[in-house]
Amino acid sequence: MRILVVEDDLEAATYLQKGLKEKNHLVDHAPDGELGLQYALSSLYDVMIVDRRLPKLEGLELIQALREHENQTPVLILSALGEVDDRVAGLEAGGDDYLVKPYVFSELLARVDALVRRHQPGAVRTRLKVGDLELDLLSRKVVRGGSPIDLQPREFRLLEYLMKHEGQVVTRTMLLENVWEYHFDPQTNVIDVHISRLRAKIDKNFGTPLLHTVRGAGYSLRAAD
Amino acid sequence: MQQINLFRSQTFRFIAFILVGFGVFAIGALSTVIKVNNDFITEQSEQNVQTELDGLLAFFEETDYPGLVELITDRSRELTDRVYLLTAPNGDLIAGNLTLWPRQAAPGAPYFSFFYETLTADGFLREEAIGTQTELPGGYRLLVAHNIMDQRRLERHFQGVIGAVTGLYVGLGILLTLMLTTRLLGRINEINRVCLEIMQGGMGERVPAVPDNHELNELSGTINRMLDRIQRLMEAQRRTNDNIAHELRTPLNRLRQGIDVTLQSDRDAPGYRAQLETTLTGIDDLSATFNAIFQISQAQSGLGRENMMPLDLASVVAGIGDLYEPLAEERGLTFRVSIDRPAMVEGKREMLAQAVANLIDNALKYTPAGGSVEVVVQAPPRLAQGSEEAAVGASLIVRDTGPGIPSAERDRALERFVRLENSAHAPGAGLGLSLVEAIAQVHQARLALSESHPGARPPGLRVALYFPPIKSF
Repeated sequence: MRILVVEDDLEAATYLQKGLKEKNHLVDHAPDGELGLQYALSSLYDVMIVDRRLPKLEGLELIQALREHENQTPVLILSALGEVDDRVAGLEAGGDDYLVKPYVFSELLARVDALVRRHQPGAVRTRLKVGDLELDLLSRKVVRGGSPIDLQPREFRLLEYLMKHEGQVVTRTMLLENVWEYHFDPQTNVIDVHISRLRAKIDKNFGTPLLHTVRGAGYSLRAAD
Repeated sequence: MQQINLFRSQTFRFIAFILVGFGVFAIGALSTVIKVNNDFITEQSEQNVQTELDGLLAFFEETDYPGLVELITDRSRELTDRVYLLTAPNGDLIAGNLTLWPRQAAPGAPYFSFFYETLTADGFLREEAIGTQTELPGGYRLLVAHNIMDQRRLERHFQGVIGAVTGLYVGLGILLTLMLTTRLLGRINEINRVCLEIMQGGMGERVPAVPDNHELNELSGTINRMLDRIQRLMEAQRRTNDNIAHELRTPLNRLRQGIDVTLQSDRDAPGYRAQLETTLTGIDDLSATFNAIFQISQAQSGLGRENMMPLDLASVVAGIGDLYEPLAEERGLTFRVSIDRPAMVEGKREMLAQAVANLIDNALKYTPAGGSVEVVVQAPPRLAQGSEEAAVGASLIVRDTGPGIPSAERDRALERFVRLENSAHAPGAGLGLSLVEAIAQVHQARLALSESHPGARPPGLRVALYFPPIKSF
């Protein structure tokens, strides 16, 4: 993927670029808002990572300018400001996702991935399939290898999200945000328990495990390992 | 900061403006009335003079000059307040008591006033009269005038009255303006002085109330409440600083030591890797602690109070309950959430979610297996039609069958970073309850700790959050 990083902190930018390049992404870097906007408008990027605090042009203003130019490149905002109001301001300015510093790199990777996927338009699917696991959104039925699986509503929503992000790394925070729609920090890893419940229902008595734990990052639902 | 200059003050100008305005109006009205009166009297005099002239002319018609001369002579002698003059075409005086034709009696003027002198026992007296004139056949001229000294005296009297009133008004006005302004300014300067003193040193002082001044007392009261808030903010800031210093230095130190020791001697790759991972975990913990401190600070400083919205507490509790239910089951605890209908509160959804999560998390953490945790949401009582606003809002209650908190330690439990004696081995930083307290403050809700099963062993903890009633829109 082609990624543009707009970050004035050179050390942070270097680490970011290094990490992204190791995952085989092409990364450009702009050290301030003005250059960032210039690059964004003159080249095609799959996703942009923009720090909120930038010299010459603030991050949110950059995004607003981008949208005014009808540029719909997905943007992940990085910020030390983590209150709900700050998040809302970022999204209202035209950002697509918001990550609070300090962040876990795998979290950033997972979200960037999700942003690019989300952005690719596809037909609206009412049936999701991963390996031999099938989920029907209309009838709310789940089947694996022909056998029906009984899921509670929340387990269904959880599986739906994982299947929609097939192959991607999904972090606990992403799950909390998208399946339960909360942005706080749970003290205990409640998500893990939900995952192990789900695993027990969809993986335990079947051949290949589909729901994988990605150490230090989160989870991933995929057919092959 | 300076003392407010009397003459440049708003009050002075305001009062002076009113007094001047009113004064101009009142005295203007008075003067107008008097002028109208004077004009009327003058008009009356003119008419009287005209009437007499007409009378004389009528008499002249019948008796011709001889009769007129005799009449004029008689009247001149008898009526001391009348002035007559009859002159021949060549200017000779024929009859009357005036010696000279007044120059104000120009041919064009219908009525005119002039001065004349009379000789009295006390000497020459200057008098004024209003007169009229006419030409008689043969070129004779006749003047008739009436003394208007009484009138003039009345006019001067009125002028004196106006003058006195104006003088009195101006004098009183200045006095009143100065008095009122000085008094008000005195109070305002007092408030300013106290505020300045407060800013310079003692935050403990407050602006005193003044016995009889309603508006200024309102102002003083508001300033005092602001000072209360500032004091609380300063206190919260100080506590934050203390806590940051205390709670972050220790783990930082530990992290440093770990890395330091590792660097002392050569290790193999797995050895270094292990230390790096430990350090990373330590940094994450630090981050979490820092976030919690920050959130508590935010909540305590009241900064989070903007953008509050009415929302349903019951739905938040339902969502969080759903999130924690599997955890409860895994721990072998009975977990029940009781909601009977929507419970509206005014607040911020994410903050409330965090508070509810912390309470449930704590309950699950401290209750041993086999116990139970119950969460109850009580909606505010339904009001009968037409009754006043509710005095009671929604409430949230979390009950467990854990060890509870002894009443002596309940206050401490809400302070940051406190972990009570019997829970030293439970995981997690001791910030949960203090964050709930801070969030309660932001929502103006009351947090109450008590026993969930008094008398039983263990007594269990009951945490209650009582929200204020939502204001109707």
